[in-house]
Amino acid sequence: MKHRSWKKKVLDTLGLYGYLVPTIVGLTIFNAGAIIASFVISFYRYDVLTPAKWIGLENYQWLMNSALFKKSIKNTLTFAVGYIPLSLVVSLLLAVLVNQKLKGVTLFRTVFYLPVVTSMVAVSLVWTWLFNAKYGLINYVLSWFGITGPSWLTSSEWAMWAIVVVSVWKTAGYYMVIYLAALQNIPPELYEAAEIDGAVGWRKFRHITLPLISPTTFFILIMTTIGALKIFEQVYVMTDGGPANATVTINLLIFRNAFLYLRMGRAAAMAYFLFAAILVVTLIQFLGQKRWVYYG
Amino acid sequence: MARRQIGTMGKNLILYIVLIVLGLMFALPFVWMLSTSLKTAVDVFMFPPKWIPDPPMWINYRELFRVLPFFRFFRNSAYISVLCTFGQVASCALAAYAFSRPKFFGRDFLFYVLLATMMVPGQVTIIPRFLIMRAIGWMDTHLPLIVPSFLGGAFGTFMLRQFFMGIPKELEDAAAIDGCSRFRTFLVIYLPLSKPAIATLALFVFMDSWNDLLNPIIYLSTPSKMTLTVGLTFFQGEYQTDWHLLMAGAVVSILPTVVVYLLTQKHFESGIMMGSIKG
Repeated sequence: MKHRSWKKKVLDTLGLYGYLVPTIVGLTIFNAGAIIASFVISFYRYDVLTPAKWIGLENYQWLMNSALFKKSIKNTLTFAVGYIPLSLVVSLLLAVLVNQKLKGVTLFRTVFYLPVVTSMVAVSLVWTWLFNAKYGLINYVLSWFGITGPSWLTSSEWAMWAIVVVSVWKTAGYYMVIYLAALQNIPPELYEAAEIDGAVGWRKFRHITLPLISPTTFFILIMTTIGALKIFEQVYVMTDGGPANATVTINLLIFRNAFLYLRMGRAAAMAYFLFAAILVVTLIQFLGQKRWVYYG
Repeated sequence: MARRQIGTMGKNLILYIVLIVLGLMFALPFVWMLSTSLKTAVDVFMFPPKWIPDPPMWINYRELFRVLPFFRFFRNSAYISVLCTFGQVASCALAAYAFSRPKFFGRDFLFYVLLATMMVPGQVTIIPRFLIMRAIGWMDTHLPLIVPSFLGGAFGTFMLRQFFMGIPKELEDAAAIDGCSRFRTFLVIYLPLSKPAIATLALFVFMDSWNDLLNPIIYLSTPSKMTLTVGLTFFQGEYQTDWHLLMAGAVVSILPTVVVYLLTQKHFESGIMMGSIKG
């Protein structure tokens, strides 16, 4: 009897593993396996065509010494510094607006969300046209106010900021939806109580809304930070790193090294650098959250 | 009372003005894309620009399909995205079912490893993936874009598992008493009850696959095998770009996802929320 139930359990477990076959294959080969393989490759020189050669830490040393790689870190951080706060502010503003009880507000919600469902490629191409120095809509609108707009994407000073604008525009609707849910979760009684105490407008927002949605802000901060550090598509389509490497990002260099120059080892080392950077930054944010995130 | 009403009206007016200004900022790029797509090659470079093309050059859209194998791109994108969606939903649903209620040896370990992979940026895994695809001779085929979708995924599995765990256990027990096998329970109870979650996941996978840039550019080289999203970049010239055709192409390329979104708005937004629960 005991033997039979043991046998039944084994069969049952095997049956359940049957459901997991695709997942386990994918996990082993394309995820866990690839994560390990990538780490190993980062210690080799490998160009796909000739056999791999062990070179120890040379790839990592190259990263530390390469001026271009340093520039890519600087550019990625510049992007992050613009993109993260702007995303938080814009998406919260949109959420507060579409949370108002106004006629036709759902139409605006749809419009704000529309960029999210379109491809970054199409969006980047449209904005490249909008940012065109001579015939672009943006400089045309600026000219109404007597401003001569810069040549955006071909100006090493402005190109990254143009990419920040596109990126915020593309993703704000997504975070708006997340903020909206958080806003709708705030019990109305809290606002009523604050009104009795004489709090209005900005003070209500500052002392009730902001603390209560801070866990959501924290979540969006993490998401936008990771997204910013991995920025690739916008840059690839709009500037391809130019002008004068002003928009070369870490991820663009990974792509170029791996798939244009076939320097797999170096690209893997960069990927691991990026991975480590994301882990460290996320960890710092988690440690820092105690100071400002309010869990009711 | 009257003053209060005027105050509300004033507040609403300001809100509407802000909404309209922001609405324009979000809508104008789309309007401009459409407007440019209907201009002649000469009108595109008019300054000050014309807002409404006169006459609208609908022929640009026909030209689009003549200059590049645009129909081919469209077909490639469509079949790749549909297969990816099917594969991802099927493999994630199976895994989510196993992870949802039964307890078995290694379950938690596997589940946490799966979740942990969500933390790792795709850049880390893309190189070994590329080398594997190359080694098995799948370069310049659509297989590297499709097959991985059939092998599960952390996000979809997690999302469906959360949903499955909300399905009353009594239903499953009743089915078991009636002699319903585990797989049958999955087919006749779990799947039909999870339609909203499955629809949401399907939408997200379809979008991601349709909009993907990186995978097609690293695996495909023959132009006629390209997807629509990547095909768009072919209009970008080294010296000169045919903006009217490029914008027409952009319109065609975003149309499917925009239409799907407009038809299924609710699923989309609930999907974002399901995804963000993990935070």
